[in-house]
Amino acid sequence: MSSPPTHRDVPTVGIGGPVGSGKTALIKRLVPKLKDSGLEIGVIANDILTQEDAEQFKRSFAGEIPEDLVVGVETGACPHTGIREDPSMNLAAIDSFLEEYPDLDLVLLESGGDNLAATFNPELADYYAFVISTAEGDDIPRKRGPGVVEADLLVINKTDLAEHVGADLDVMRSDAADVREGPSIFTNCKTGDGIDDVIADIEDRVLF
Amino acid sequence: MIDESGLLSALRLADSFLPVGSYTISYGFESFAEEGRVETGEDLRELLSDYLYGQVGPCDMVALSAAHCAARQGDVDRLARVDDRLHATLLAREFRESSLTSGKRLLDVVADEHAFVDRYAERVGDEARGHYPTVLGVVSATKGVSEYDARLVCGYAFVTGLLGAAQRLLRLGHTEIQRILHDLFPVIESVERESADRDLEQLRSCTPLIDVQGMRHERAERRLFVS
Ligand SMILES: Nc1nc2c(ncn2[C@@H]2O[C@H](COP(=O)(O)OP(=O)(O)OP(=O)(O)O)[C@@H](O)[C@H]2O)c(=O)[nH]1
Ligand SMILES: [Mg+2]
Repeated sequence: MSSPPTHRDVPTVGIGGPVGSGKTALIKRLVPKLKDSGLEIGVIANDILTQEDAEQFKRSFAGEIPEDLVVGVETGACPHTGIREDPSMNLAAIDSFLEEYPDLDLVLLESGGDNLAATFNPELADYYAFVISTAEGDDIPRKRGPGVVEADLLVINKTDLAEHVGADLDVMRSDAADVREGPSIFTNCKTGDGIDDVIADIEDRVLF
Repeated sequence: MIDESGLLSALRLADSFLPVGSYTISYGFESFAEEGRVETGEDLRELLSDYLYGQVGPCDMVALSAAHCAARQGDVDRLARVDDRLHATLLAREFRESSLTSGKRLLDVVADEHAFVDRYAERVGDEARGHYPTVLGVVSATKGVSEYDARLVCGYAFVTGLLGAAQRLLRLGHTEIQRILHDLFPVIESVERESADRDLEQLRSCTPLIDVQGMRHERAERRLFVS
């Protein structure tokens, strides 16, 4: 008898980044498109503070994802520990998805909003995207935070706000290219600009 | 032989670095903090003493000792009975879940390190449940950590886990937290002594308020911890 599937048997994509940079907004854009290409997806959100947040998350995926494939995982006020030093609670959540949905194709993991040093444990996420936004300052890539430098993909979100906060997108683009080896993609999650490029990168490097 | 005294293994098992999710568990403490029932260092010291006298000593340490003994005798069936007994004693649902989740994680962390532990791990999910004190007892025994040391590890790790939660939920300084930890050493030793010769049939827990707070946590509006 073959053993039941565990977290090692499903591709996992981590979405990290500072508070309010657009992680949830990105996931809300990604899910319907990934769903359209025929994938069964689970979503784990870390550090959901209230029941209301959890319900809102479930509602926004109603029709796309069954309710029991959307869960919040509490990280004891340590968001980076939950994705880096000790991801055991997240791994347990993935295992419980697979008990009910052994053929699951992909799990998206949103980390709690954190600082620029937060990276994903490679045993938790096969690939991770780090989401920053233009509104937090155009000097973020140059700070060389491990989250930014090590990420498989850097997403620079809220391009629509750049002009209002005086952020220079060209500077962000060239700084990102200086500090990272992997790609960087500009997005606007309000309109969906750039989302297809993010999907293409995930398909290319995670789902093949 | 590697780690003959078991000391390195004891340190490993007592360390908050052990990736078994302890930092996400508050065993109802979050509810005490949220409702303002615990505010000062003195409140915290008293509450942690209650946890130790009511729960950790008479329940967790007794289960751990029984598991340690069963592991030394290679008796996997008895481990399942230790698990059942714990399962019946932990009243709050989230306490049972926290204990099961961290027990399972510890088994994963030490997978392939010892054949007997793997034999027990294979049964978890079917005949055995894999509660944390049981797993800690089994792992300690197979690594040469004495029953006595294992009980102290259990008490110490419990206290530091909750002190960490307290430091994140309340406004307490790091030196005060260390002082409380130090003050609780005699309590850990005292509950260790009391639990030392109790057998599985005498396992009990009596922490009514903590249990109630653990149940209230299930419906808490704001949750940072799993229990
Ligand atoms: N203008 C603009 N607003 C955006 C964009 N993306 C997200 N937002 C808004 O930014 C705010 C924060 O977005 P979220 O997606 O909640 O950010 P988050 O990273 O998930 O935040 P935390 O989970 O709290 O760390 C919300 O009000 C979003 O509607 C964007 O591309 N442009
Ligand atoms: Mg979010």
